[in-house]
Amino acid sequence: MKVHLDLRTMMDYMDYDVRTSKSKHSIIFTVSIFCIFLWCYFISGFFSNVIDFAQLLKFLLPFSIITICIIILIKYVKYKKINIFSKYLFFLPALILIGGIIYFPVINTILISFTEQVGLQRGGFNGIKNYITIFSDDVFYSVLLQTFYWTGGVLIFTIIISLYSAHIMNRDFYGKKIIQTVFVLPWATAMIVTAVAYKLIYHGEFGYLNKIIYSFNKNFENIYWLGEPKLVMPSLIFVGIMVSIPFTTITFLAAMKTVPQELYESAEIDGANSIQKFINITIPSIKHVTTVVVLINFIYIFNSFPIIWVLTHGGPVYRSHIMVTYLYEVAFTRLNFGVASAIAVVIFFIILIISVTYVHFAEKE
Amino acid sequence: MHFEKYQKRMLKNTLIVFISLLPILILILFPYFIMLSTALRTLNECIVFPPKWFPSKIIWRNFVDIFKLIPLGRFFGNSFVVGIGATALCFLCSLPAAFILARYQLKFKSTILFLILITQFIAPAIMIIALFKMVLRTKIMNTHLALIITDASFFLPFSTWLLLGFLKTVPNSIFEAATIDGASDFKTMFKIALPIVKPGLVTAIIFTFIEVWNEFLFALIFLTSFEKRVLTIGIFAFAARNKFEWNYLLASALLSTVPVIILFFVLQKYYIRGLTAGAIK
Repeated sequence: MKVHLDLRTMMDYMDYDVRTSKSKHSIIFTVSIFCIFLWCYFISGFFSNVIDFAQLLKFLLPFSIITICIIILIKYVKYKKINIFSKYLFFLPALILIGGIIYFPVINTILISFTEQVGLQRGGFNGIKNYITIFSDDVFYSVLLQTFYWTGGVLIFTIIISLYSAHIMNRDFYGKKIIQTVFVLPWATAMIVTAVAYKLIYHGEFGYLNKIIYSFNKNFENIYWLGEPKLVMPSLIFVGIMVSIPFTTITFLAAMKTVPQELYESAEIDGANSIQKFINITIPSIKHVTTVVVLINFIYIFNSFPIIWVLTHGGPVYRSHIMVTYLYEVAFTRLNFGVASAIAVVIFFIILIISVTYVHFAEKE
Repeated sequence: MHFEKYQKRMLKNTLIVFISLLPILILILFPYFIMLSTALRTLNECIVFPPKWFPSKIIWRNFVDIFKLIPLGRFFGNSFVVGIGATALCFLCSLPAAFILARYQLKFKSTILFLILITQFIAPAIMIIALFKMVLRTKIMNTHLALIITDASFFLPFSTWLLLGFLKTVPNSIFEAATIDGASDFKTMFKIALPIVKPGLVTAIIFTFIEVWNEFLFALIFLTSFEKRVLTIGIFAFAARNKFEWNYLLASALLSTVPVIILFFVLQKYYIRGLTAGAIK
C-alpha cells in the first residue's frame, strides 16, 4: 500500500500551516475528531445489536431525535436563507468514511491499549500494564532496532540511487519510453509478487543468487540468505530498495524537469562540470520536493508489511521482524490485542515525532 | 548541419543513459525474468541445484493448469469485485468533497484539508486491531463488503487531493456562470466539473483500482474462507507449508499482475502526468 500525495498541494499546505497555525484550528480539529468519535461509537453499537428488536427500538430513538434536529436545522437554515449547510453536506460521505474507518479505529486502538485483551472477550482497564509489558521485553527493543535498520537502509539507498538515476534520465535521449516503462513496472506490480520472486532468488537450496555465486566458485556451501540471522536484514533491505526506487525516481525526475535550463547553460559557460552542476544547481532547486519525498518514503517504508511477511514471516527467531510485522504477530498469532494495540500506539508516536521533527528542521532554513 | 549535431548529441546521451543505468535496469527486470522462466517449467526442474536460466522445455500448459488446481478464476472475480467496488465508492465520496473544496472559499477549508492530509501519516497496520474488532462487531467479517469499505476509505484522502489538484486548474468563473444560470451545486458538479476533469478522474480511478488490486494486509485479515480470497492472498494456495509448487506459484503471481499492467500501459501517460502534476507545475 503506497502513500502518495499530491506534492504541490501538500507543500502549499505545509507552508500555510507553518505561517498561520492558530490555536483556533487546533480547537476545531479536536472538536471535530471528538464528534466523529462519538458518532462512530454510536453507529458501531447500533449495528452489533441490530438483530434484537427491542434493542433496535432503543437505538432508533436517538436516531429519530437526531433526524428531527437535522430537519429543524434545515428549516432554520432555509428560513434564514443560509446556504452554507448544503455545501458542507457534500463532505458528508468522505467524512463518514475517513472518520469511521480511519480516525475511529486510531482512537479505539489507543483505548484498547489500556485494557487487557487476550482473544476477543472485552477485557478490563489495566492502566499502562501493556506498555510495561512491551518495554520490559527484550524482543521489542531488538525489533525496534531492526525497524530503524530497515527504514534507514532502504531510505538512504533509495534516495541516493533515485537521485542518481533521475539525474541521468534528465536529458533527451532515444528510448526514453522504454526506460521509463521499466522504471515504472515495479510500481504497478503488487509488492507480494516481487517478494515471491525474490523468495525463489534467495532460496537456500535452489535459489538463483546461490547459482550466481556457484558459477564463480564451485566449492562453496549453499547460503540460506533468509535463514542466517546476519544475512536476513541486508537481503530484505535490498528488496525494499528495489521496490521503492520507481516512485522516488519518477518524482525526482518530474521535479528536475522544472529546473530552468538557463541555469545549467550559464554554469556551463562558467566552466562547471557535471558533478558541480548537480551539487550546486539541481540539489538546491529540488530541495522542497526532496523533503516531501523523504517524508512519504519514510512513512511508507516504516510501515511496509508485505515484503517481510511474504519473505520471512519475521524469522529466523524474530531476527527480521519490524514493528509492523511484530504487531501483526502479537495480534493475530498470539491473539494478544491489548499488547498489540500498545505497540500500534508506539508506532504511531514514533512516526509522528520523527515526521514533525524532520519537517520542522527541513522547512526551517 | 544543425540537425546532425543534434542527432549526434542525442546518440551520445542515449549511450550515457543506457550504460549508467544498466545495472539498475538489470536488477529491476531480474525478478520478472525469473518469474517468467520458472513459470514455464516443470516442478522437478525448479528444485534442482544449480537452477538453469532457461527452461529445457517450455510448458505453456502451466498457465492453464493453475486454473484447474485452485479456483484462480474465482479469485480473479473476487479481485475485480473488490477493486471495482472500492474504486466506485472512493470516487463517489471524493468527488463531491474535492468539488466543494475547489469551488468555494469555505470557513473550515484549512481544517478539512488538514483532516484529510493527516490521514496519510496513519499506517494501515496501526488500525488493523480496531478495524478487525469493528468488522467482527458489525458482522461483515469474511465478506467483500468489509474489504471494499476499508480500502475505499484508505485511498480516499489521496483521491481527494488528486481531484482537488485537477479541479483547481478549472477557472472558477465557469462554475459561477453555471450557478448564475440557476444550476445547483449538484448539477454543476456532474454536468460541468465532471467532463472538464476527466483526465484527472481517470488518473484517480486507475490509481485507486491498482492500489486496491495490490492490497495485501486488509485482505489477509478480513477474508478468512478460501472461496472469498482475492488474488494477492489466493495465490499462496501454492505455497502450503510443506509443498512449494514454485512453477505454479510464480505463474499465478505473474498472471495476477496482467490486468493491472495492461491497465497501466494503456493509461500510463495520464497516470504519470497526474501523479506528478503537482511537482511539474
